[in-house]
Amino acid sequence: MKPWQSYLRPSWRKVLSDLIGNRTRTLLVVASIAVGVFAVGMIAGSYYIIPSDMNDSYSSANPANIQIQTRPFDENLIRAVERTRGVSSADGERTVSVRMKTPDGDWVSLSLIARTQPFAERIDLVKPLSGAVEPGKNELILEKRTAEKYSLGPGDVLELKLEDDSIRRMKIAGTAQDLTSGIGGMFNNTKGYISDESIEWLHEPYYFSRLLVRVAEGDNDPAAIQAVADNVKDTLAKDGYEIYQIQKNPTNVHPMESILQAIIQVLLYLGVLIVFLSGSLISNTLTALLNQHLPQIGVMKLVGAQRRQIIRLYLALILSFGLLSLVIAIPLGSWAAYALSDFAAGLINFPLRGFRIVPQAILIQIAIGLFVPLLAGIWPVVRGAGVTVDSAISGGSHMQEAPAQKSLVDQGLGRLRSLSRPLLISVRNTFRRKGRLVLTLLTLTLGGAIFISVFNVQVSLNHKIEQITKYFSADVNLDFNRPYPIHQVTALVRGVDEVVSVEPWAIGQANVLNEKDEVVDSLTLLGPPANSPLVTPIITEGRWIQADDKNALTVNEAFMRKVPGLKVGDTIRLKVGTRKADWTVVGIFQFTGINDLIAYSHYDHLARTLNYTASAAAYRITTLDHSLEGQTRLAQQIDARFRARGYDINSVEAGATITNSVTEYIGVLTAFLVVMALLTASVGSIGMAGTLSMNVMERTREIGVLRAIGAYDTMILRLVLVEGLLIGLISFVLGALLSFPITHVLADVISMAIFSAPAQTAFTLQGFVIWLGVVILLSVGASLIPARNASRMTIREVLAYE
Amino acid sequence: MAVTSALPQVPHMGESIRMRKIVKKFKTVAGDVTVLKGVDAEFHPGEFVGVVGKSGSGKSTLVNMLTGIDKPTSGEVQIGDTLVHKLSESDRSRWRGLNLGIVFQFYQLLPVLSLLENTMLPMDIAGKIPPTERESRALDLLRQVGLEHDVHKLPAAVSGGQQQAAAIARALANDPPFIIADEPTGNLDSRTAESIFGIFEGLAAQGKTILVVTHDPQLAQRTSRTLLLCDGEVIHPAVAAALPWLSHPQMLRATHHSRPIHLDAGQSLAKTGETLEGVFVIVSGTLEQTHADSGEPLRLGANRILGHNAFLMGRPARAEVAAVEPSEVLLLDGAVYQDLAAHSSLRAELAKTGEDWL
Repeated sequence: MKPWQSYLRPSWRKVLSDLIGNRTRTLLVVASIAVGVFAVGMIAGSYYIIPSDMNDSYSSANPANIQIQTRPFDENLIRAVERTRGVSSADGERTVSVRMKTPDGDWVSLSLIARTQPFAERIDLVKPLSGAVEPGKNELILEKRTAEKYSLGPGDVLELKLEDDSIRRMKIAGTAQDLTSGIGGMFNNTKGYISDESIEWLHEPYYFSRLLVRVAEGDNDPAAIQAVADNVKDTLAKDGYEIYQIQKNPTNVHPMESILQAIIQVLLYLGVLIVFLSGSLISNTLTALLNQHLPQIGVMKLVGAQRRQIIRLYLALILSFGLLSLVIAIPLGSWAAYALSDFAAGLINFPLRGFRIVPQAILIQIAIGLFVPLLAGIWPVVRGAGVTVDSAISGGSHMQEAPAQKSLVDQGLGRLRSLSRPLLISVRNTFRRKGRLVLTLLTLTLGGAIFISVFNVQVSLNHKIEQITKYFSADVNLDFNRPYPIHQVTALVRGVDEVVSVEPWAIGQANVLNEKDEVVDSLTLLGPPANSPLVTPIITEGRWIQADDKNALTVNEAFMRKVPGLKVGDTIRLKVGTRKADWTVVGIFQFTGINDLIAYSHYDHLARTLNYTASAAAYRITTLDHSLEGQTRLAQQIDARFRARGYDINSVEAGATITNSVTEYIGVLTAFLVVMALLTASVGSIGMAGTLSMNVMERTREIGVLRAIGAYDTMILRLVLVEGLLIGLISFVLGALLSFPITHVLADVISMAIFSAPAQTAFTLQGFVIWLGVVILLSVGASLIPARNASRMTIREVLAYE
Repeated sequence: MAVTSALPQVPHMGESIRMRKIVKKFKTVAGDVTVLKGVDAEFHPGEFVGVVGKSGSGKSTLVNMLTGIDKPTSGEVQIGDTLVHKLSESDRSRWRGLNLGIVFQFYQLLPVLSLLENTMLPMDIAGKIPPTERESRALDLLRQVGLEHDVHKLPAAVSGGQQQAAAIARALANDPPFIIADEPTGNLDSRTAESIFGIFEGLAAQGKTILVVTHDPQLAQRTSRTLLLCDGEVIHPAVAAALPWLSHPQMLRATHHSRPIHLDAGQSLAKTGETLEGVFVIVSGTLEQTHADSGEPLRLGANRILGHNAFLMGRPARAEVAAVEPSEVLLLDGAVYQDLAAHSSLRAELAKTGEDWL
């Protein structure tokens, strides 16, 4: 006894010696609790940090409450909008599309964004990161992701190819982070910022095409923003500007928040699950502990201890386990919460406010770290404390009793004559403590099921993206700034090797009108040829467009949200160009779930409506090589061919670019889920290690007997390893089965969050195979220490004769 | 429980167990405790030896040295040609599986295996018996110990005696030359204990070396010889046999204060009128005493005492004593013997016999 221990009352000294006396067991219980508390700390911490920092950074970026796309305008319109009632400030934005030469020598598209306001006061602030805060004339500030992607920084000079193929060299004055575009920025994240003075130097006329407005009051109130938007619409209408597109956002909510909330919600469910699983582990371990302590309980009762005193003693022990686990899990959980937030911040592109402790998360951790073990332990403790002195003292002195009658499982195993006795011991030992086995299997099975599901979810989401990109399945998208005759463009495109087909598409903006013919919204009209093979729509109601349709539309699901009650057969009044007409909705298709209104008509009808005569501004091209490299190569050839002939090209893009970015995005999302699955799996493996340790501890005597009748080290090692492997394999089979419903639920929740549509579940062998490998490794790993301990036991230790 | 007399055996002759100067110390909080203090012992083929002693005397520790369950702090354990204490834990397990059958007080059958499976287990582990013969051999062994109707039962489904019988069948699985049993009847009623001993007797008759640790003096008497332990030392068997009225510590004291005397045939041990140094205990051989007055001769064999009366009364010898054949005698120190006599029923008990004429 250490001197300081003598100051403690004997009962508390017992608690202390129980804690430090069996370090392996203490470690096991503490790890069981800590893993759950850690997961909750991580999730709860990021639950508080991510939305708060994301919305804070968004609010502090002075975000536009109203964004309007309209025809080119100059500063006069900006001033007029600024004077409009309810408007606090307004700005014009112009995006100049150029191509920049990367350090690798490739030419890639670069969007240069010009504004009139000084950088420090502008709407949609960017956060300066390095170098100059404001671009000087003929300089640019490069956005963080572009700078990071191409390892560029202040002082570097970019070679730019302009629309007219002339070359300009532009110095990077600094780098800055876009705080407002959110994940949407992923689709066009090669960008920089220039001063409006540089527009003409880039051989572009000085005008703006996007109007950004901040409201004076009620910037967090959608109704107030709507009212100001109406005023701005009036101002634009007065000056003869049509609205192509309008977006309204409150200041305090990042546009990404709802999607992120949904994902964190999923993580939170998993966190609760992990706590539940770790609770069952704790219950397992404490039951074993109480069993081991039965003789001690008997002795305590013999010397007069009352039941409630014993309960108090063991509850104090459980609380000590909880406290120890908090010491580990709180710092780790806080750190992991910050790491997860940092990961999300990188994904969504917002800066974190720095590492911090989230008191709410810690309070939740403390509550769970102390309450869950008590809850899990109360039954074993109450039961253990209630045993009679006689049975407590005799308990454990003999070899663990087995039922006189064989269970159904054992009866089944008994018929397996071909099994050797050592293997039979492993198999039957696995099923010996059935309650413990069930709890262990529960954790490992759920961990495995979630792990496998994550892979399936990834495939399901990719599958969905694949379906969605079926609306954009061209290999190369060629867009001009004005329409060109179809036969000319087709002939030129066909002159390029590998081209399989060329389709002219009619694309235009339209306004949605109300009964009074006032503009209430804008939509994008897409007109592929009827029966175009490049669009494979997912029709949820009605039908797809047909060649003989007139003023017929198939609309995306966003219409259902904006025009509640809209159904197939209803009409919508549209203003396309200068023509106002009623269009019949013939079908509803499922798109990505974005709020923008998109509708399809067929090329012939839409081209007529837009006054195109045998011409088009958009062409969709297919080739034999559908790889991104092949598409990019073709795009470059087409680009060169058309530019050389003086065509006014807006963009030539490889079709897979978008698919790839979205797939990457889904990959990042599933990475979150894999982390959670691994966490669940680690609870499972701790559980299995615990179970096997407890099994070995309880069977030390039997191991001694085996040694006494000749079992050598490797045989003992094998006995425990086989048992672990068997548990692992059973859990694999159960987990694989359970992964089917979990995949459905998880894929639906995430798909609803991202695409506002249920997922079409798909399965992949990958998850099953990887988990099988992981579970085998986990089983062997978890059995290794108990097995080694078992093989090292000397018979004298285990049989303890005298 | 029915026990048949003959167990199937292949004789294993010629291998003896030798223990030389075995010392075993255990570390405790209070310091080192010496449980065995330089024990020397030998056990030969066909011997049925009872290891007897009070609780804490070191019986089980001694058996642990023999089985290789534990290692001596110093000294040697040699079984056949193998120095058991020099093997690694794992090698000792393999060796044990082939050479020793161990029977425990609490049977120690594996609860998840049936009696048949328990009996087959050592065969699976050692791999000595061909797989095709294992089941029939196990069934045979179980039949020999009277368990032919219970072979598929789990241990918990049969009585303690039946479990111990199955444990014996298990110990015989690999046909080992040595059987070591630690309190095999400690947990059984006397009738069952009796039949278990019957099995051991049969095994010894077949040439196996049987060592049984027991508390029960009556059962110990059924062994061919006993090894009496006290406080980690072996009491001289002749002392134990000649002076059963002494307590074990007293016997040990007597052992400590005695010295052997070897006599050739016809060699004299004491003469009439001689003053004795101490008391004689016959270890082996035969001695003849001739009374000084009557000239009548009386022969005495092993474990008999001579000189008790003369020495305690302080008078000279009244008879001549000489060896009839080569014999061994222990001379117990006189002062110690006097002290032992003063503190035991020795004097009264010996007074009842008239065979000591010295």
